[in-house]
Amino acid sequence: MNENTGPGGRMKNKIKVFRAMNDLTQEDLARDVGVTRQTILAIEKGKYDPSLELAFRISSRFGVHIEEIFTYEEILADEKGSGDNP
Amino acid sequence: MKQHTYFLLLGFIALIEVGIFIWSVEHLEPLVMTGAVIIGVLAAWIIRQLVDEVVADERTHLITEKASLRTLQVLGVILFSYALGGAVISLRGEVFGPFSYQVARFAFILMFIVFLMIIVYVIFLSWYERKYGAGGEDEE
Repeated sequence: MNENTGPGGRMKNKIKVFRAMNDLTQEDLARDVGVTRQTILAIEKGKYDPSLELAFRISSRFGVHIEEIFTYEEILADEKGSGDNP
Repeated sequence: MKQHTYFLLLGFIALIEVGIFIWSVEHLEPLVMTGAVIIGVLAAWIIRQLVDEVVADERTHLITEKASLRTLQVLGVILFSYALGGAVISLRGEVFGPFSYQVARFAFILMFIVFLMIIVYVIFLSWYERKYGAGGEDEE
């Protein structure tokens, strides 16, 4: 599972898991949803949060609801100050 | 068209541009060079539309947007400060280090370019604010 930090929370996704379940390469998924392979890689690594449209396209490709792949978690104030960010 | 064909054609256009540049220098034809650059950019844009594979997506657009904004900010400050320094030399009408009075006059052209850049930026800003729904009345 991957994660990405935002101002008040972090996005997580299970694209890698769903790719493995569907026996898809990053290249295959990228072609199916109309983006570059680097974008899929960046999303999986949590370096880039996809747009809502792309998130829907990805979940649609796997035939599941968007929240099954993408989740958002709030970061608590004390967790924020625990040295997660420099 | 494949992506590598696109890059090959881009290289070919670049070679033609270099050739035209050399010819323009030899024959002192600045307008030919200026026109060739515009046509070259247009040709590159048209060829790009013919590529079947995904060349740019939302992530590349985001990267380009951020890089463009930073470039505009950094270059804007550098050019404007340089132009102001040149204007000081130009208005005093003396030689300052390697800068002559004539060279410093270029500062005014540079300043005009910076202001033009700001105007173009504001126009685009306004355009995109309208496009993405900023402004208008609150429905409450």
